[in-house]
Amino acid sequence: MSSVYEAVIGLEVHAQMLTRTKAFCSCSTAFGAPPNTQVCATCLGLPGALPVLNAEAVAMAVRTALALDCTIRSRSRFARKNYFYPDLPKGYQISQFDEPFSEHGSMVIDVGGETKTARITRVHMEEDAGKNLHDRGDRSIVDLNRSGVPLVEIVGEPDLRSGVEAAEYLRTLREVLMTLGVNDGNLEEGSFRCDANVSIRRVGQEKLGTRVELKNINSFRFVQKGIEHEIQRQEAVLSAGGTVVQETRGWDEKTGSTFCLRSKEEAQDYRYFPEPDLPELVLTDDFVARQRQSVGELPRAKRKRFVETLSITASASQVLTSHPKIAVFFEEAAKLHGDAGRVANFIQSEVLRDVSTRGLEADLPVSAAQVAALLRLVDQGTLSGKQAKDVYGKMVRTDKAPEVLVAELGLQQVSDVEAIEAVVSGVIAANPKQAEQLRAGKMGLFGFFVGQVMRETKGAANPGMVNGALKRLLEV
Amino acid sequence: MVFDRARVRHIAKLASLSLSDAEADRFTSELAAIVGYVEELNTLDTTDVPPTADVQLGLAQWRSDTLEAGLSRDEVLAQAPEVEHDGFAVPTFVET
Repeated sequence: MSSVYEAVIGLEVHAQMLTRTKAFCSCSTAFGAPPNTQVCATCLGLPGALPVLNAEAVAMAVRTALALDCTIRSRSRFARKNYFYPDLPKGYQISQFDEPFSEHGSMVIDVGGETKTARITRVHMEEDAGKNLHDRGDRSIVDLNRSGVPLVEIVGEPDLRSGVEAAEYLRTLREVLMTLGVNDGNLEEGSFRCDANVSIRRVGQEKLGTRVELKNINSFRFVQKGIEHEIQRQEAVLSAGGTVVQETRGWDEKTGSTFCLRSKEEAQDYRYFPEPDLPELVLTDDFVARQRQSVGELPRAKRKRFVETLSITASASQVLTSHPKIAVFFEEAAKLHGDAGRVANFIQSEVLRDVSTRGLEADLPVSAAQVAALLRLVDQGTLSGKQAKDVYGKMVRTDKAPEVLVAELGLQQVSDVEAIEAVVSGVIAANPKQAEQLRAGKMGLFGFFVGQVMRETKGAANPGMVNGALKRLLEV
Repeated sequence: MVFDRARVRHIAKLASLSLSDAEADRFTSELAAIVGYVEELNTLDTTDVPPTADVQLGLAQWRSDTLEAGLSRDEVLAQAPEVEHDGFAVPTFVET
């Protein structure tokens, strides 16, 4: 981006809420069921079927709004957003329009070592549309399992200035939603979706430029690249004396560029009007207070606490709070063991290598108790650091206590002075030339002797005691 | 509003409903009565009545997040004009 223009970006996120049932009917929201097997008269849009609001969806949406510091409106209203599309059987989507249940929030993000507060315009609830399958011959196939799944929509103010900031905003928001248990953060399955409004203006200019909407970008990397490409495209248009056209564009990852989906002339008029089938949404102070209590600790606060009270580094804290399950695992292990820094190091260097996450689930190969017990064996001198890693490798995906594995593998660290001295004497006797050179001052050979002893003991000798024994017996 | 048979036919076409002549006649008189009733409401003086968007009294009923069986797939697809791959088959379109 040149110094002449600055980018102005606002993001809209649609996140599927993790309720068991849909927003307005009792059908399952489970992902991956055979097509059209989680459908009833309501989400099929049959005449006469009436929507009944899912209390859990309201609770989750309110928690989201509270976590984003929004003001809650005690009375709000659902509206019909009308459009004609094969995946929308009623011909309208139940959403909120001029009276959303919450607005005026904010979220702090960290970009390049600095913090930035991004304002949130509003958070509201709506229902998802069905899903279209386009790869089945010359027809498109509509699956209504997703029709009516509750969504929380988070609309951000145009406070972001680069693709990097936009990607960071999304990562932070995703973490918040996952920590709240509201959303599984799964971009690939489309449960967390993002549209970006992008415009550019001359630096110092107050008025916003013509905006382009980038639709349905399904990874953080593509958000960043798509926005960066779009900024460059608009800059090229303006620099050449042209004008940016208001339109909706898509991101093509193959060409690494955006393309026009719909121009302003074809822009839709959604003919919003109040949903007559649902009365006002009334959120009592009591209900809101209960949701506020269940918001719990958010990732940013957790990171700060890990650094300040558990004395781990900021980068370790970042890694260990990247997924709610990993954060819980770390805290539990740290509490059981007592030295959070060592636990943090061990989890980062060993455990995380084997962890895969999918949405809110994390597949942790060992338990926190196993990790704490293993590190205790090192503290007690039973195992060397190297042996601990070996034991860890054998412990993965078993429920065996490390003590059991140590016995099974005969890995006990040798901390017996006499036993170690016996091995050291043997090694010195077997390498007289090197011993002589070392005594003569060639101290580089010390490592050679340590290595020989370790080889003899299969790594089981206590390294500190080996050093001591070598120094004594070689008289160096 | 005049509610004649031509209007009923037009509405039926918009709703993808096919009506026999006898049904068209019946709906013409029934719908004329309904629309006539609604028009009667227009004669009420509502100057002092605050506008409302719904006619339900009291607060919204919320439901618990509990699963209930919906329709079978055969039932879901029974009204579909065309079915392929267990779904509603429609002319190919581009997502916008």
